[in-house]
Amino acid sequence: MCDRCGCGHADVPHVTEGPPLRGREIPIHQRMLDDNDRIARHNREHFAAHGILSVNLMGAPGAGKTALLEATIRAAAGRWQVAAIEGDQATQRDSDRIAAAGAPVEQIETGLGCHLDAHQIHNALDALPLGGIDVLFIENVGNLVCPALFDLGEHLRVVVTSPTEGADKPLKYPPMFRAADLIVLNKIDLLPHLPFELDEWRRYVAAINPRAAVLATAATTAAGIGDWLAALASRGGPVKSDGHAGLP
Amino acid sequence: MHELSIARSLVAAAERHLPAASRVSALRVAVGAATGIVPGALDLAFRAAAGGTRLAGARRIIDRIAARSRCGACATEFSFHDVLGTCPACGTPGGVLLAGDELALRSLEVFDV
Repeated sequence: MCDRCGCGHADVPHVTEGPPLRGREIPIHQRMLDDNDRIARHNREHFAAHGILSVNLMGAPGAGKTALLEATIRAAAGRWQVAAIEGDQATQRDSDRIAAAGAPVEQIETGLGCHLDAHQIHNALDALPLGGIDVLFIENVGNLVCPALFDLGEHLRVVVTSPTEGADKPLKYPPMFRAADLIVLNKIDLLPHLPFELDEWRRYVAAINPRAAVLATAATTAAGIGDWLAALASRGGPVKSDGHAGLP
Repeated sequence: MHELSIARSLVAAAERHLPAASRVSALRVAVGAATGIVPGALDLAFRAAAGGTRLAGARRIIDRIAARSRCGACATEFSFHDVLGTCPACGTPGGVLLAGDELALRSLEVFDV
């Protein structure tokens, strides 16, 4: 039995520092996700070589990630060529929506998988020609926990959240909000109808991630989409091979 | 669920460092509190991921690394063991994470076969 809490499981680790190893020990000191991270670096180099800004779009199911993408594709038409990789447990529904909005898209159905990983993105790139693309959005599986740990090769990590989720989500899911470069509060058109305190939400975001930029949008009315495009442009796409900045 | 992905990656990383004609009798890993990784779930996932590999049956020593933050309100530095962290001086949650995102394979105990 475990001697810390009496839980009855001898093999459940509770120790802060485990006992020393007994035999011949080889020190390693390598990140557990080294496999994923190596492919992610490769993906990032691939995007940079094509002058593409890659964006990992994360958030809970129903936050409005796909709607934000549709609004982005429409607003950026004629300025940027946008493409997307869509991650869902099942169906092609999101990739159908993105294709209908006018962008090249590749769907990844993860089955039992709760997040996208760098290998899946690398495989998806085989089916998604990158020539002429300015911004590639990778819409992660709707989930506020697991995707936070996996580098996909993005240049920018964006968390999309919405007032229907409640103001306290940054406190309840800290690794996700901590991982974000940019946090988008979508569905602000619903604010008058909800007991959502914007100042409270901003306070929690600042407490968890003071370095993240914060934006407000309503994808279905296009409110804030101009600011969103400006925020992407200010991140400056990677420098293209001809030496010019990536995003026009 | 993502513990299984991490366990597979861990097994792959260990196999890359394993000398020929050897097996692993134990491995030591570090898990930072702020990762949100549940050591028990990682342990279970490891047993599934290690099956049929040279790590099958290896003991798992999991060093749990406390997280550290600097409070955004009063700048106090504090340790914590959950994924959030709350400043003991002023009660403000979160802060700037200084440590606790470790997820590493530290060492392998090997034997010749």
